[in-house]
Amino acid sequence: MTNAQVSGRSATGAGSPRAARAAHAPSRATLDEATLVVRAQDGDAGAFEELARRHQETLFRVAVRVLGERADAEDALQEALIDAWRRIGTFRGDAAFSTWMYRIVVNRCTALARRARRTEPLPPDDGPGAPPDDGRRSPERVAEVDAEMAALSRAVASLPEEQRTAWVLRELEGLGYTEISQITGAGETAVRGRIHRARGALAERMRAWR
Amino acid sequence: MALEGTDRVEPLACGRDAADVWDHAEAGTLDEHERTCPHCVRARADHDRLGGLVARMAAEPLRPPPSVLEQVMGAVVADLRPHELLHLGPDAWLGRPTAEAALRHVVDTMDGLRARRCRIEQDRVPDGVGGVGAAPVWVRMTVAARFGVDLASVTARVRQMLISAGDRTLGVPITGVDILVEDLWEEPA
Repeated sequence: MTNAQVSGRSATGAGSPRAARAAHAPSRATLDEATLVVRAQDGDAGAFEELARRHQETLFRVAVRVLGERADAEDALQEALIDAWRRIGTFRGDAAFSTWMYRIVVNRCTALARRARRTEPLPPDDGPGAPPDDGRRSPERVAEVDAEMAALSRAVASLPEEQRTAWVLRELEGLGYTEISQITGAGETAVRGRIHRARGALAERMRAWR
Repeated sequence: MALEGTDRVEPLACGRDAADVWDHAEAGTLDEHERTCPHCVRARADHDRLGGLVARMAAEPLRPPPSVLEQVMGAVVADLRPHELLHLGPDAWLGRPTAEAALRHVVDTMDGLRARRCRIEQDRVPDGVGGVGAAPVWVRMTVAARFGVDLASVTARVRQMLISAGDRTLGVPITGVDILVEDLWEEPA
């Protein structure tokens, strides 16, 4: 917003903390993201930890949905956060910090998925995540919803990787086409196309449930 | 950019873009044509079929175990360069990141200021002259200030506080402080 530089050499014996109007230091949890990013770029590990804490749940959600498995998603999240720490000096603020973080975790997921594909295919019945809170539903309905959700998970896992990533970012994370384009590096038209194909394929696979 | 055939969205027989129809159904902004045209109705039937289930999937709680962040921070701390030390006296050293974090904390305690970058540069300790105490340091600090604070007086206070903290808390004499106010913020009304 503005730059006002003040610089100078201290006078001997200058400075009483009592002269300043002191307040309690804000905890890291209350600091704004721009300040945390700059501090992390400056090597402040505590500031980075707060950034990681704020974003980890979102990044983990994406990783679970893209990779289809919690254990792989934990690996992807861990690698992505370490990668983010090592590369945070390259963040220039051209895109939102969250977009930058999404990009790193999506790249990690892509690398992990390719590695996994070379060794063994994803099992078709990997239901991601814990079941939802079903406390108020009948056992029959709980079983039906669980089975339907597991079927959707299998259908998502069967999508081609690029479609799956774009679909997850759009339908589960609620991101816009422009941001998904920035995250995946694909053009906006391609992103729209991939999401549309994914929607059609999932609808087709879930037809038996309706 | 060249697109693969599978990346294109083919228009419906009525000329509308099927992806647009889906997005409009999701946003509740279908126009008259999209509500009545049989092609559009067929295109959005898939949306109606999947919508609730996808929303349930999106709402499922998924949280990483605490061990992930613990391991990440272990790697982060191990990454910090161990040779970044300030000399405090004979056989006594202080990690530079620790000292910088302490000075940021001093700034954070001041009303209307938030510390951002902090750099501490120490004069070279001459070989064989390690017995007399810490060599002096120079501090470069960037801060964000609340709009409306008196920048001249607040930066003077920052300087005083840092010098005092150097002496009393870190045991390192600070000979100079550069302060750059790089951003202003406004309190929400």
